[in-house]
Amino acid sequence: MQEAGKGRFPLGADVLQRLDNIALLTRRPMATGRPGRRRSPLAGSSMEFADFRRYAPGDDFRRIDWRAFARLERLFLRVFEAEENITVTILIDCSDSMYYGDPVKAELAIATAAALGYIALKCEDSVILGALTDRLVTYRRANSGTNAIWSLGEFLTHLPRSGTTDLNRALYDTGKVVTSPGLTIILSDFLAPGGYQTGVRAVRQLRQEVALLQILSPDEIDPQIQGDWRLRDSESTSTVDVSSSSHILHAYRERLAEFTEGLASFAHAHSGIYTLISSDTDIIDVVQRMLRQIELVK
Amino acid sequence: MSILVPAALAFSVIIPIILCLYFMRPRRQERVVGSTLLWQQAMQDLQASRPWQRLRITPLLLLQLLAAIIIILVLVRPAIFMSSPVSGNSILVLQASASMQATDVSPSRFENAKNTIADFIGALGPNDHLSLITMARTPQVLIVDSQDKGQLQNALQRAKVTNQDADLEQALSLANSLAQSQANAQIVVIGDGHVINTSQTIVTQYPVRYMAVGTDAPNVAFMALSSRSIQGQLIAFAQITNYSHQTRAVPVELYADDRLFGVKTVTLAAGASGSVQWSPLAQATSVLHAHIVTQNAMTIDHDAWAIVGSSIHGRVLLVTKGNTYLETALSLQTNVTLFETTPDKYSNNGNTYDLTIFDGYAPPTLPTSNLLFFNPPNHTYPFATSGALTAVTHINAGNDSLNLLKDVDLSSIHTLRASHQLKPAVWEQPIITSPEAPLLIAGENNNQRVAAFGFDLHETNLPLESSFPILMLNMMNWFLPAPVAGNGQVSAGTAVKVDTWPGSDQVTITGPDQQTTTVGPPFPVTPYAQTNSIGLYHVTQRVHGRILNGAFTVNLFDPIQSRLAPATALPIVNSTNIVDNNNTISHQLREIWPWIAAIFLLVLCIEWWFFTLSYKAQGAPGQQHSGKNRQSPGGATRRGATPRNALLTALQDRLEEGLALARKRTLKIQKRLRGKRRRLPKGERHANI
Repeated sequence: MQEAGKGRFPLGADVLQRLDNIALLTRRPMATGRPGRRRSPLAGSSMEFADFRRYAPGDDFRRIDWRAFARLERLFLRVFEAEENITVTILIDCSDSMYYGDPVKAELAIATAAALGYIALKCEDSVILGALTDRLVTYRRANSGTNAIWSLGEFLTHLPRSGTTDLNRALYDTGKVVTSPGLTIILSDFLAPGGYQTGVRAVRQLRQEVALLQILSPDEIDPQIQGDWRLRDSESTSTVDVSSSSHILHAYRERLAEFTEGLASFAHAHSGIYTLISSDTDIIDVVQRMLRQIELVK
Repeated sequence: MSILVPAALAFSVIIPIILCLYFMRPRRQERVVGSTLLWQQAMQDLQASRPWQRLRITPLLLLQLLAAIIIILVLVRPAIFMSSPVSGNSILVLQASASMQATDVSPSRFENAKNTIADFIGALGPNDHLSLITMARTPQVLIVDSQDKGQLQNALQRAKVTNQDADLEQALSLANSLAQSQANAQIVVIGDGHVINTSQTIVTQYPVRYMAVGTDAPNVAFMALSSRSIQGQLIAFAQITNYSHQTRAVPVELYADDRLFGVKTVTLAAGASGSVQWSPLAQATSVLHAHIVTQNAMTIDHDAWAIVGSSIHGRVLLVTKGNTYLETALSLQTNVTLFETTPDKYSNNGNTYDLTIFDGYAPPTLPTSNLLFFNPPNHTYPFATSGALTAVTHINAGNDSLNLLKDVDLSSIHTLRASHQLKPAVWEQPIITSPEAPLLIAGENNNQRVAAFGFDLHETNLPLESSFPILMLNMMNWFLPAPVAGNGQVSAGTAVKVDTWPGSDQVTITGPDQQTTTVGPPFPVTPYAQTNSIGLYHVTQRVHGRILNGAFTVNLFDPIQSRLAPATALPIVNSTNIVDNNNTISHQLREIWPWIAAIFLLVLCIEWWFFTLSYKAQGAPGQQHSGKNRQSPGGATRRGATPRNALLTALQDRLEEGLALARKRTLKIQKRLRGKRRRLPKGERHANI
């Protein structure tokens, strides 16, 4: 699969082979005007019958249902569904916080983005990969083509890593590159001091369905801290003094549950989907089980 | 419990200091995490900006508080009352007499007393000193003024029980002399109180306490065993006493020269004595051994030995023209084998006789063996010069250092017409004298004993008096002495000085344990003190190349030792009894800080263990997530924590959960109480509406 002179792809051939029969799902059809494999809300010329409608001057004679004319002596046209493709935008959080944890969260984010990009290209969808920090740092657009997959691979292996997280601004910036309706998948820990809500709403205004995939490391999901520690934030100078006790750990878990529930309900309110992924989860497990559970793929 | 240093309670201030340390915020190690967003939110309600934090009850805090309390306890020197009677300077007198062998208390009275003393040694305090003395016929010091428990135990193990009686006076005298060098000394006597001279009350300088050992166990014992020849028949007698509270039938075996002669059963009322006799025994019997066939707590007094007649016999030659008195008197002596001849037939054939008696005759050459002269002819002999006959007016006892006149009544001699004027040699002593001349002289020179009567027995009424056989007995015992005077019986532990024959060059004694001891040379023989065993002792003498075998016996004919009921009190003025009743056992203060210090050490070890656990957890935070079997929220495979940390966390969590629960319940109860207080009566509430 890999050709000389082209970049490496983050996933191996065995993983990609297991992704061949998987397709991305959207909750409702989208009209993009670009022919593809995905059902469109507009009438089209596919083989799938959709409806009848009265003939109007200028309509294609070939679609007139003559049998209906014989029975009713009125002209009706047979309307067929249209099939189009969409643009799948995959946004990866590349801030410093994604490079902590054991294993680091960015590894799984890159692998997941690669898998989803590969699936989208297989479904003849357009793919936009974007790197987020406190803004949209860079992006790569890939259409269905021979080199598209390698272009994605090259982009993913050279992702920038810097700075703090500002999801609101970074997601707002995606309006510059996303022009047609589609699916936007955001891979982040969403632990941004400024929140994520404004940015996600901005994405929604771009006629995007959103999928929020939150990736946290195991020690963020279930911290095992003994003794007295001063925890320093990886993106700022802020610190927190923590002494191990069941009260503190309980409070942390409560806060985490509250945060993830808030994220899930926000996604639900904006017709999106959400899941929490631990960074030590296998990529195949993520795609074939977890994303299938939230009906992002089928 | 008492506190010896209450001022040390001031050290309790260390407890608030420890708590203060826990209130203060600890110095923390820094660790970079992806985001502190959630931690900040979680800590908002738990974190305070003050330098103090909420007290967290941790195992380490509890251990440190415990250690502090223990240190304070050690410093205040708590002491408890112990029931051990041994404290300060004590002298323990352990009775080691024969009655202490009784097994009425397990394993025996002596071992029981030793165990009690071992317990006392184990309970000795740091300032206690102990001396150990055994009390038998002769007291023996085992150890003096020692604090070393090991040495005391070793000394106690050396104590051996004896078959002797117990001389309390000597033991107390020794104890008093030991106590004089010690301040506030006390003497503790442990035994059954069977001591000699109980009729005399002993006055001691130091307080004496008596701890009785044993019970009033039944016993029967020999009090005597002897033999006598009556009308030509040899009869054995044994006297047995029943020291119990009921009538008992006692079977008794008699062995004559190690052969069973017969078994007789004597029935004795409670506390009564009875005798049993066997006859006729063979005339050649030399040793009797009697045995009581009954199981009692004490068995050492169930055997008795006796020697028939004299244990040693001498060959005696009587050279006389005829003297019925002498012949009769000599034939009655049990230690004499009599040979008789006339002066004209006498020939000096060397030293074949142990004693030669010349009656009115003296050979030209005197034998070198022992000699006894009656009415020696006028001549000068090596032992004396016999002069002309002279009238005797008055008879007096002379210098009787040889005990020849024991039980002899000289006043009965009132007819003595004349006697040779004896001029004794310097080594001869006048035994019977008169103003005119010595009548009886005796002495020893060059291993030869020589005695001479200056008169003819036919010229006096002496042979007709009862004093004559006694005098002859004394003389034969002097010429041919038995190893032990009297009936040949001694008490256990008595030092025996063997009477040797003139000319003995080696004397050995073989005890019942078949151990042979040479007591001579040197001569006079050294006293033989190894008479602790009950039984027959063989004495062997070599006299002029001839071996003479004698014997003596050691028996426990001691009613004090055989009556097993322990004495209620000792015959001492200052004596108090120690019994199990707490009122009479003195309670001694014993400091218990060593035990508390040991607990402190244990607490320190546990604290160190806990600290090691938490140190490992802090020192390697990356290892917390290195496991591979943790489950993610979505069900995926995750890595896990170490089990040690989990244990510590679980322990701490449980502790804190318990405290939180208790706090909640307290709040609930307080709320309820407050609610009850605020609740208004029904009518009043209605009126307000």
